[in-house]
Amino acid sequence: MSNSFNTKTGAKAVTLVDAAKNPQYTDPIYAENMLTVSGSVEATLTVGQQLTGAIYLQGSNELGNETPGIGTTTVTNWVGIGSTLISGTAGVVIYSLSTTDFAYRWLRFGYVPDAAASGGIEGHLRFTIKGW
Amino acid sequence: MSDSLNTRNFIALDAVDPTSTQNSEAIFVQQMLYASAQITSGTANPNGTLKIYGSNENGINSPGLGTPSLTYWAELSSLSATAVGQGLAISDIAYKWIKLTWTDNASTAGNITVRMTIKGW
Repeated sequence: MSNSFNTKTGAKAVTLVDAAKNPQYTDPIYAENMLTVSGSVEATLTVGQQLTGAIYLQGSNELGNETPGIGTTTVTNWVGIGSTLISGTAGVVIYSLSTTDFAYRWLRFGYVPDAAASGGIEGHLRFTIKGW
Repeated sequence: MSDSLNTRNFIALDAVDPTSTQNSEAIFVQQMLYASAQITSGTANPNGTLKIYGSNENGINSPGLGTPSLTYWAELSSLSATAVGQGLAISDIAYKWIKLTWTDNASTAGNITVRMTIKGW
């Protein structure tokens, strides 16, 4: 805890096309002191590429790592907080999901590609979290 | 009060029988605004209702020293839960105390544990 505003940003490279629809998640992010979170899926599509999928925000109250930041955390059970569908055909694509009342200890963002996506698209899932 | 966010993550219902009604102790939240509760583990297949209630009764004059016995509770939020991992969250908590209750519908034998996180100043 601190007397000043705490913020954290991060990114995860994601494969935006996957006929098997395998979900891709960030590692668990310690967010017990955080209230505001946002995540975006970003990509630049060329003509002929098609992007469809969904971005998810999840939370968990599992204890996980007693000293977050030291060692690896494993969290099993997640509560869905929000999701949004994304789609695009050409140009710069960005879709975001956010909440201002995050009440859980851990959070993670996820991206699940739809089988309709095509074109071998690579992109990033970027997030910002804020609190005290 | 503090200039930095105060948080607490704790077990509200510890390996309890989901086939019976369960109540947490009263949780002091006069300085808290956010709360979440999640069934984080268990040997049973839970099937019931998880609820968060609030109360403005005085309770005890020194929260943290002893357990208050409160009578009047207002329902704040409810979740029909059918699996370990499910949870609910509330914001803008305006009460002095909250509690968590579990009411069975058709749970299997075993136990469940519910952990909460509360946040405020």
